[in-house]
Amino acid sequence: MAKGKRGPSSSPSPSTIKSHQVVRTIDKESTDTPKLNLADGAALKRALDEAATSAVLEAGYQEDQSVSNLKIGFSLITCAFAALAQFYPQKYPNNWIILVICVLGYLAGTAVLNFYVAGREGDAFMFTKRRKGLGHELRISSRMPRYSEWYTMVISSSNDPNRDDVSMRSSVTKYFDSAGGLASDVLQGDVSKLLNDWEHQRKRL
Amino acid sequence: MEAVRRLLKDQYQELVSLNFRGLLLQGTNLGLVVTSALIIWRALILITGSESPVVVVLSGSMEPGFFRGDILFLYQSNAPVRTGEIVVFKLDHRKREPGHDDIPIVHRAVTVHEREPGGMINILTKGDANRENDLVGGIYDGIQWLNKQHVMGRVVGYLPYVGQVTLIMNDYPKVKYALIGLLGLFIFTSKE
Repeated sequence: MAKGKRGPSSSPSPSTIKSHQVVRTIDKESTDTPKLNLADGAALKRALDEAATSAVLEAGYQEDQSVSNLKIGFSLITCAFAALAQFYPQKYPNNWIILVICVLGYLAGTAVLNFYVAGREGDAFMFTKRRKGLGHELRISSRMPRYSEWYTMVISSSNDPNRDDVSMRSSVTKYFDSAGGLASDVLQGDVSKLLNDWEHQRKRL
Repeated sequence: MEAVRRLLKDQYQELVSLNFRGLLLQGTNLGLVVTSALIIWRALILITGSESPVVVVLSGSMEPGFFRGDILFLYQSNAPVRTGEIVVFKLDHRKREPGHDDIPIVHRAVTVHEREPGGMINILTKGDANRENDLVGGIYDGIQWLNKQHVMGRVVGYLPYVGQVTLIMNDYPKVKYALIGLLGLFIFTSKE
């Protein structure tokens, strides 16, 4: 079980984390204190993913939000079809053509959205832009099977299929104490090590 | 009760911890759920050909077949209405007069006059539990017969009791707002 050390050296300086780039405002206090239910695998994985995201940002990478933006864009277009169908001034049966267009448009939008999420995003929870001196966009994904204690994190190239992935696998018992609190500095250490592996692998090739 | 309060508090904490991007993501999530319900309704309208494919029985005039709170599934077709069929009709002309509703009524067709084969049909309806047909009972309110344009569809299926929720929400609007609010909160703060 992890015993985290907290001190001024491990808290992020305000300039390295830009809060508008991640989904939740990052506050060192709040990420450490909420006690998670250790039986809830999904919540544990989410907490690990979020802590890993902030660790990657802290290592100097910038988040690439284009995938997320495209998702939002597709969703809004799909919702627009539904809004058109809802607010069109004619009643049935005069408006049946519009209804057909909107229903088909909505189905198409939903299909595109699902294919895009499944294909591009997959199990990734973060994308990064190129870092100065390293020239690759990263795709950071994680896997944790249901009822399993093993959390696997994979860093791969976002656009170059020739690059090998680097991955690490540890038990969640390494990061959570028995009360359900997350020791984010332990995770941060592992994430930094994984990032190092990735960067050194690139240089070798 | 304590668990419920804790759950609500957790969801609220979730909500306030989001920044703009998070709100946008969760908002589009909520939008997709809501719009999917709307689109399903529109698709049902197209499939069944009826402007209101699912209705709730509001009165007891069709007992013991249909009770207040049952859900009915309608289907509209070009086949002419025949006696014995249960139809749902709406009296458009009533809406134009203030104080009169045009709520859909579900009754059985008891008399059908067809002027010429395939031509215009006049329909007289009666609720199974009513003593008189709808013309004598004053329901038609000015017209003598129903025609095709009044009929919203034929009843093709039903679900008992499920519509009670709709009736409760109609009678007590606060329940409706509370339910919708809670549903929205949970969808908005769900992390999937």
